[in-house]
Amino acid sequence: MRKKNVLHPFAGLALLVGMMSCSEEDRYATSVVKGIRMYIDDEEYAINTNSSNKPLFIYKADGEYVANYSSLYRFQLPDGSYKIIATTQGDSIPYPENLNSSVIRQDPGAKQSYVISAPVDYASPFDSPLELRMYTRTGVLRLKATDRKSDRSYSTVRAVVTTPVSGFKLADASFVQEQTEVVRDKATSTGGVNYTDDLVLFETDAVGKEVSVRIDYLDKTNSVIRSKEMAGTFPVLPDDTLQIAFELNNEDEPVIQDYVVSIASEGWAEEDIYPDAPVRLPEGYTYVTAEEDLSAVFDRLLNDESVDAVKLYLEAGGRYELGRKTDFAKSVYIVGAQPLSNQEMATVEMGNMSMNTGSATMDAIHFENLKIVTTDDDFFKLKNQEFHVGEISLKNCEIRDLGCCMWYQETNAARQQTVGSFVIEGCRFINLNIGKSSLIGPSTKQDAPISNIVFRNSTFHAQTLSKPLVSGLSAMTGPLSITIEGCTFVTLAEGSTFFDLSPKNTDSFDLIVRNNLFSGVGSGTAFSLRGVTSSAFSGNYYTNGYGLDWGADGEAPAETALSMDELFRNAAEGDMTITDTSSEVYVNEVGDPYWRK
Amino acid sequence: MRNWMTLCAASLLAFSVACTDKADELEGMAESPYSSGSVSGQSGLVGISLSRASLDEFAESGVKDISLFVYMADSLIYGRSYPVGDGNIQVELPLGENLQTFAVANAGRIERTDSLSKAVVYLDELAQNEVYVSDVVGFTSDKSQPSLPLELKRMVGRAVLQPIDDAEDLASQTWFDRVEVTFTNIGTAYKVAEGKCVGQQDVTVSARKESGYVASVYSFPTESTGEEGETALPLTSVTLAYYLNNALANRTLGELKTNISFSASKSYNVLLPILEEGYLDKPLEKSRSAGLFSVVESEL
Repeated sequence: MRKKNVLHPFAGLALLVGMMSCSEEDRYATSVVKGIRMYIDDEEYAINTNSSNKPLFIYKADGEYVANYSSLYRFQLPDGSYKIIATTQGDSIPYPENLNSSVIRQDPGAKQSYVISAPVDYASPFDSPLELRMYTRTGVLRLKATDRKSDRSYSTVRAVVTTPVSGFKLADASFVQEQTEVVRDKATSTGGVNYTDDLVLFETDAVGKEVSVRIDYLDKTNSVIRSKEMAGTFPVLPDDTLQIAFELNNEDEPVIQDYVVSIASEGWAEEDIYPDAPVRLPEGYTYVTAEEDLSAVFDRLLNDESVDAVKLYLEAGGRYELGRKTDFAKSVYIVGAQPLSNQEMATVEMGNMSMNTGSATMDAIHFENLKIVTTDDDFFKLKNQEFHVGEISLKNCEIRDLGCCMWYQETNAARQQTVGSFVIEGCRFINLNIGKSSLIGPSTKQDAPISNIVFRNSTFHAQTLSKPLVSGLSAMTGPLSITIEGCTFVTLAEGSTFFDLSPKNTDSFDLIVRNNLFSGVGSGTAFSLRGVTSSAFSGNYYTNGYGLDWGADGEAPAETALSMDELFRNAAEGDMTITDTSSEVYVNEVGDPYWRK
Repeated sequence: MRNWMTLCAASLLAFSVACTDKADELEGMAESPYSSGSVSGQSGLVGISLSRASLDEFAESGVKDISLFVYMADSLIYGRSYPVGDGNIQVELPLGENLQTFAVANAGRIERTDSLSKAVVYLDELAQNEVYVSDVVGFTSDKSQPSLPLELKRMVGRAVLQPIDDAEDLASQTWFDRVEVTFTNIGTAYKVAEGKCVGQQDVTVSARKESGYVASVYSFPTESTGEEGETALPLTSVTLAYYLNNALANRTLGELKTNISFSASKSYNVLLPILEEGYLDKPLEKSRSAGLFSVVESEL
């Protein structure tokens, strides 16, 4: 008979009860991680509520892997100390490796970016919120070709980037400073034109080092046919794109040196464009850009029998060379485009000119809206040619440092050289050096009439005025009219005579002088006159302290309140800007209006 | 004895199950484990992640949604809009296939998306939106990559008309109150597969005093792609029409040549003195007098 031991079930039960009393509290104590705050590059971050990503990686204090959790839910951990990291690239974390040996290597394809926090120590009872600050550990190196000319000798561009950072240690959020190469091939069907490639690399800024770049060119057989190093080194900036714009196909660059580096976070690349004003080409004119040869165009039109006159329209702000043009027989019009407020006039560098029409008459020689730089002393240098011109005119032009004369004339027969009108309007002659001959000095040996001379709204500023601005009228016959109005005359030479208007043989001499301003140093003479048959003098002034001998009958000029140095901004340098807008010169609109600004 | 052993074993099992349950519960308080996809079916979830740079730019530009398209052999198999969110998108796709994808943000419209080779992205009507387009990225949906990184790049350049007149002169002039600025040959259509502009048109935008008469438009790149036999696209110019009380007061004399050939992420600042008479069709006096008379309808 077997005896049953009644204690056995009790022992089992006790054992069972004892085991069951391995409850939560007795088996392990846990606490709940409740408050989780995450940041990316110091900006608050939260994953989508329907996201399956689990950014939290939990390790024990000794680095042993514990778990990978979402941040959307509270979770429990056994009481203890932990190290927790967060990342948006959960699949890149090499778990369940120990944290202390976990390294994320540079993606050999240079496509993967990483946003990872440093490990955060977190211990139970987890009363304080869990704060995880993720930072972007990678940046983009963008290679961008700027070529417009293709080179089809290669079909693949290989970028080889040598970087001093090969990985990222999770344990202390530091970079593995071991040099490594990243290679990226990109096919090109355009011979390199528009090649662009982005390489995602660990940032180098944190370690204070930079990457270097080499470009290999591969042909269709995948053989390297050429290589070019890129001079210099470049940082890889975290969460940013550093673009290197360069030419792939520059044959003159065995080493790529001419490149432009820009940083994407700095926004748009900018280019300023100043559109040119539309060209309002006057009818019959030929537009000549600053890049063209003005002299050649002039000659072409001069020699073209189908063209009646040489009419040239120049670009505002352009610089041109005309050279000497002598013995021409066609009318000439050279006009610069009206400059805009932010533009200069066109500049023409020219030598002297002469005409030769024979018995024919050309209509005109006209210059307008030009800065004229003379390479010879005389503007018109005439020596025994026969010519007859209706009108010679300069309008809104500026001539500085003229060597001598506008009109230097030699003729060996009466009426061999005749000009209907010589008009200077809206012009400024600065630093005249009138010594051997007058500014306009017709021949005194032969009758070479300029029947009408007009100086209007212009400035004549002379360093030397040993001869008058206009003289030599003695041999002239026929009618003569001279109009001098709205001009400013300044001489820096003592004892100057501005005008010697003394025809002996003219049929008539009509003279108008009004609203002019005369100024100078010491003393001088405005007019030496003879043979005037009618005259009108009004509204003329001279600056205070200038000893001006007017030399003419009719209304005498008035003296300004201010002296030359007080009235003008800088007469010595040729700046006659009126400094006092309450002066009589300003109020009564006297002299060249150009200086009343 | 056997009963005792049985009891211990059962207890142990109960304990381990309980503890296991406890462990599961621990895990289960978080999210259920990520499904690696339906191995038994033909499709699975593929991760696509937008770059941080894209997300930052979207935040600045106020872009909230992106459109994602996935193709298999040129045919669309997936097309949907997503909120930008944290930049991580899960897409149900057939596994083990060679696929191609691209994404677009902020477009006016996208047409012909049924075929990758025909898909075209268009600007909005007034070319006012910055459009972002990714490269066409090929991938195999076999989870060999943790997630497919996709960077949407700004695919437009920008032209800005910036008056450079004296601010006081501009504020005090009275011969116009509105300027219609026409930018010619703006790149308005972009063929994704070819990565180039396939359509241009003139775009006119209004500029008023409040904005300092500044006007701008975006354009897809119109610069040369360098392809053999390529015909260069027409360059962009600018014309201005000045209005006062809706009556035309003046306009620029023809197109002002800016010779702009757009590059992505490049801003072309057209610096123009809009009061400068040299640019205008009529002298300013005529503009002023034209502006003095405007037809006003009134009830008799």
